[in-house]
Amino acid sequence: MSKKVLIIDDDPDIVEAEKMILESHGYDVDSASDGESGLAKAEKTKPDLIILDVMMSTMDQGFQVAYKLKQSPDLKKIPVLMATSVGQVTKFKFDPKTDSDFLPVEAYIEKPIKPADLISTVERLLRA
Amino acid sequence: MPDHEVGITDLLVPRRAELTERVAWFVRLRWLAVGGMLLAVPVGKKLLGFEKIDGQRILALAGALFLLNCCYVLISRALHRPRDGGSPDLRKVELFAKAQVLLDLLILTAILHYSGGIRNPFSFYYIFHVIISSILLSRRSAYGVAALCLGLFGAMALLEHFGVLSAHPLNALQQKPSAGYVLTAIMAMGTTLFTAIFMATSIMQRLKQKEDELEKAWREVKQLEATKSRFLVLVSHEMRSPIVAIRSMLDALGVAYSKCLGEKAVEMLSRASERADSLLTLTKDLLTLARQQSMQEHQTEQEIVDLAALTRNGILLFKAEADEKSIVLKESYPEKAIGVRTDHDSMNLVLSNLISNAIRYTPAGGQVGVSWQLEGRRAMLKVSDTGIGIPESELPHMFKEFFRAENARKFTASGTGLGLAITKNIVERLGGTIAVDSRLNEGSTFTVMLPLA
Repeated sequence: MSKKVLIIDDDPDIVEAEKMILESHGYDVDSASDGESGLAKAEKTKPDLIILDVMMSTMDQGFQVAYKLKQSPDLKKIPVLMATSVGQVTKFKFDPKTDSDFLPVEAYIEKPIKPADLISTVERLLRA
Repeated sequence: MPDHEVGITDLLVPRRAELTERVAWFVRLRWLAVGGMLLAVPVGKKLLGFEKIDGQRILALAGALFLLNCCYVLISRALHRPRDGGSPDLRKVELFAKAQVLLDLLILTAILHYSGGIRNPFSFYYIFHVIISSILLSRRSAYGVAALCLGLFGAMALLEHFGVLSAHPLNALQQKPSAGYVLTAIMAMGTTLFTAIFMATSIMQRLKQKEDELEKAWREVKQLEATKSRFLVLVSHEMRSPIVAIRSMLDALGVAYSKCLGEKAVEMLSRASERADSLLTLTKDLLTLARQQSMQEHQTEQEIVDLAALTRNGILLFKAEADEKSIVLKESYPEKAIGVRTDHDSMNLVLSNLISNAIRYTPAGGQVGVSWQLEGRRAMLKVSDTGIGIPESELPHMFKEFFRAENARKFTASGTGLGLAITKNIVERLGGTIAVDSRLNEGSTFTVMLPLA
């Protein structure tokens, strides 16, 4: 059975692009265009992985969704891949403050995501 | 135009500070005058042979001036720091200055009267007050002061001449001056004073005008700069998401439909995606530049950062890139920590810009060196490479926005010409300097000097 991936992003073009790449690799992809419906869909379909956009209508909506996912007993085990354009300022990052333990998610990746990076990150998270 | 009015009242603020400052300086100058008067009596009597000098009266006048100046100091302090904490009242300061000038002139005339009258060569000391008035006061008041000087001097000369006031010659040799001499002295004094005031006030007026123009221009430049930064932030933000979407869709097409599209089409797609990527780099750099510029105005939170540790960690991210081109990355650090007051993000940008440039413009098999040294109270970073170098004629433009050297463009298409402009901006904001030294086809060295915390 193919793995289920839920994409939560308010940009339909990005959603479609990611969907196309993931589907061509045999994933079963569903999507939501805002945090609230994303959380509802996650509840209902229990995906194997969630790809979450940091910047949705409000600047920190993605972060709030991430916290809610990680607080829910049902959903906290689902790995979350956060797609961000926040870290756009510097490529030279090793500041402990921006280390991954600051975000309650399994991985984050800077937009635009290269197809190969997307697939390899998704595979890595699903294996873990 | 309300904006304009705001500008003009703003312009008055420095002038007000200037006026109070100059009044204070005027007060300090007066201590010298008191000292000079005390010295003049014994010197005049013993050394210069003015045995008839009225020492007692002159010393009494010096004492009076001393007491007056003590009062001035107190008043000056009170005016400088009003109790309500506001800025000094311009009208009061001007009145204070006028009162000082008036009392000074009376005392000077009295001193002259008791020490030879118009035959005392010091009678030209009136000119100091005239010049100071034309700096401190309005043009009209300055001419008023000149008229007052001439009036006092003339009155003294005439009253002494007609015997209303008894003359006090400096010594027995001094004869009573003739009517012609008195008239000539008054005329000489009058023309000198009015010429001086004319010259001083017209120079002052031109200076004030220039100052106003400069200040206005400076304000306009500041405003333009801020508008530019805001515009840059807005544009690069707005451009970013559509470009990200374009790039994502192009990539997705290439991956998902590679079989039905054919080799040529997939290659075109990947080239389109690369072009979108360089556009993204540009927006990113523009955003950084604008942010750095606005950081200059709003001081960001800074802490003492050990730049050696920061560099040691950060350089790891460039190992892969260097290995790929078989470039040797050499590092050297002093034994002590390099503590500089900065923020992590800014310093990361400086390091990553310089190191990634060095790697980018160095052909495979070359060498890139990163070294920190302590030079007195400053930290010195050198990032050197054995790369393509910079033509000498282009060296002066290296830190300009959007500038890329001719050979750099040929060497690689990627690069926006903003990295070094951003770097320079940051280094200068941190109170440091950046310089480049390079030889074509041999390599370049960028040197950054930063003040230690």
